[in-house]
Amino acid sequence: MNKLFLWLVGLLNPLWRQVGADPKAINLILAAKLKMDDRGGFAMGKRQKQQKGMEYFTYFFVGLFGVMLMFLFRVCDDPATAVGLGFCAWVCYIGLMLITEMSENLFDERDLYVLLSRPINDYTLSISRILHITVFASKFGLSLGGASFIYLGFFVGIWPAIAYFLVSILAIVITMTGTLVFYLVLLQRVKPERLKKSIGYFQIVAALLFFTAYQLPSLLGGFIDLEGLELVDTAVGFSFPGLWLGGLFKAMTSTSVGWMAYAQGALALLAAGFGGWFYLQQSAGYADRLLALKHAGSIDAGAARISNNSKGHSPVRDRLAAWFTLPNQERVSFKFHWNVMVRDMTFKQRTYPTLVYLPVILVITVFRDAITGEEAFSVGSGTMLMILYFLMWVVVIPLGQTKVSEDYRAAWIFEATPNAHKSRIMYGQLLAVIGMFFLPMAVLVYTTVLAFEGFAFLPDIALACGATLLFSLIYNQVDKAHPFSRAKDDSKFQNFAPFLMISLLGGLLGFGHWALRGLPYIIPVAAVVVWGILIGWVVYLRRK
Amino acid sequence: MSIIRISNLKKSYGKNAVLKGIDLEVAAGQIIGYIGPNGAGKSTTIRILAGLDKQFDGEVEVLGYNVKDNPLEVKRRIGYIPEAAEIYEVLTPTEFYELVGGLQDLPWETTLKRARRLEDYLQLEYAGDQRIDTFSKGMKQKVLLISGLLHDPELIFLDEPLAGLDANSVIRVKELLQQLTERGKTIFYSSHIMEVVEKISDRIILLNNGTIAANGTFAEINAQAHSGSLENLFSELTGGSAAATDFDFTADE
Repeated sequence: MNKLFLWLVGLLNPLWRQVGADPKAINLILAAKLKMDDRGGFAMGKRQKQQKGMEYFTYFFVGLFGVMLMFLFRVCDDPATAVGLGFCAWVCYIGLMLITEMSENLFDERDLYVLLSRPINDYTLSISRILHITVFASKFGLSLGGASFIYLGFFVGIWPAIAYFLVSILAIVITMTGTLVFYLVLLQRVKPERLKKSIGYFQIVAALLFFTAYQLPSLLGGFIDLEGLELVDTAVGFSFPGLWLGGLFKAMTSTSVGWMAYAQGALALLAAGFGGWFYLQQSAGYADRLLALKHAGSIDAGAARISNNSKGHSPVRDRLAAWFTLPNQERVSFKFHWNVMVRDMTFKQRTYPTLVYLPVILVITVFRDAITGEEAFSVGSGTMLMILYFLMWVVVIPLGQTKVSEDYRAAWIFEATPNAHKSRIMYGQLLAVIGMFFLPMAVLVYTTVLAFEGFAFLPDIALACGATLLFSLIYNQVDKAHPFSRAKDDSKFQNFAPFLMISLLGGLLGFGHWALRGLPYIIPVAAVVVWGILIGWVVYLRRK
Repeated sequence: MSIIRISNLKKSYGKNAVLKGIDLEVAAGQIIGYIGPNGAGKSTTIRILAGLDKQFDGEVEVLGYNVKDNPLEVKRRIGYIPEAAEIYEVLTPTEFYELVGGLQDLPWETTLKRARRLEDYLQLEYAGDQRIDTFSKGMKQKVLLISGLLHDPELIFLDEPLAGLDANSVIRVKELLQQLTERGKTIFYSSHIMEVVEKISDRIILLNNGTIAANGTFAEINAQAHSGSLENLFSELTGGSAAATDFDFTADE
């Protein structure tokens, strides 16, 4: 696979040369990066096993989603609209994946001295970085588009399938350049010492936009509403890049094409071309700015001693630690995790953008009627139940990230010390995540749900809350890795896979819960059972 | 009384045998200089002795405990400072000590008191909330050393403990090691700085090709080889030779 990708990249050597990059260096850097991707980290004299599970799950799930996208062709009367809607999903999915998993590759400073001490220019460096990210985006694209490609090839014709494949490449180019170029713009414009913070904010906003766009189709209603829908080759078709790609597909495959489809197709081609050009423009000075960014993080010890006057004290952390933990390894672990989660920029970059998912769904659900023009509140209790289970996002995603770190070798300390009470460390870890992420979000969600559904919903909330915490405990127990002990490079899709998993699981649990509501007394009884298991298990683990 | 007892220790990484049957006994209250060329198996031995690696053949006892059967008991009683160890740099030193002390089951007050005394001794100065990522290499090394001594271990394994330290700090650390042995502690010390090893070690163990090539005081070993310095002795016993003076790596081009 790697060789194939390198060969494909090699086909574009004249292009790389044209833009001022060194094709040979690009090939060498990329080959080294791809080799490193396939190898586990090394710590304490042991080779870490690669954690491929999340990656495989992600591709499998995205593949399933790709199969669902194939059904758009069955449901939509207009194939171009089906293609356009499919590519809208592509843009959202790949955009979210880039933000939560890959964008930090652009700021990878670890290999700077190795690379920059060699005769390599900015374009070579930035192109090799974006091509490395392209590997993952391409695998995403293959998973998403495979089913549609086969469907088109079998039921519509060879040319539409080829056209779909070609348009898919444009979809990846548009999404990647459209997303990643903002990082380069920030790198150009923002001072190094403020950059990482600015990127954090940008990531949250970008995740918000992509996820909101991803959720918008839920306002359209069910599949049935898609039947007569025509978006491509209409004025609406200009609204989103995915629909421009639908226009291009129509222009390539249909004989009755309106001027708007041509215009949308042209827009797609322009967006891809402009995105690539603009990315290259912003690459000038890339290496220098990365170096400045690296040095901005290494403050002189003496200067820091003078300038650092804050107390480094967190009353919230200490209060929650006192409430949730005993003064032994539980509290040590709680405080340790809290401190790292608050300070580690990589953790923040990977975790904080994912926190927008739930508020977006909550807002879209609550204001859905206002948006769609319904007079009465039409959101059923089933949707509310589903939202209760989506709270798992805010525990499971940060929890997964507390196993991963750029400084994973620092976890030697957990090996070298007796650490006889591993369950206390894990308990502190889980409670720190619950305290920092789950509690505030739970207050927001439960208050909103109670406001709309009334206090009769309390047993439902109790059951959902218990199930969420129980699932989080199971998730934590299944992965017994030491805190922050897994190499970041070996833990790809540690955000995206849980996001997909809970998207599925939240829906299933919400539906199951909704089905149980038909039976008398079952919800309070189930809540008591779930909480009983949860408390019993926690007590057992804390005594272990 | 032997504090370390190793019998026929063998360790391989795949087909590559790193340790080929080591036998060793170490008495308490000494500084042991453990030296050898790169890849000789020094760090591997120390990891095994510290209870971190159970994949080996042979018998290894540390402080009377079999390291395979009772690694936790061993870890409770030893201090281990690996070579070029990384620390959680987003933490402050105090937070790092809190973590390490907590993992060693040490009361917080004791941890803090000992840490402050060791910091004073090693002249480690910083603002209270200053994070380790703002520290110089030497300051980080001092934090590591302190964290390894917090629980007052009976046996201390140090892998290149002087890396990154300035001359004054090296003197302080050497004095600290001497004082620890005066308090009955045993120090198992691995380094490539022969001058320091020669000066501070009560006994030197030289590992070469996975076997012990020499074991004794510097005077004892030197009496066999008549090398004059540990550096020369090292070179002789490990097969090192003087580099050719007319070496040119571009000669045939």
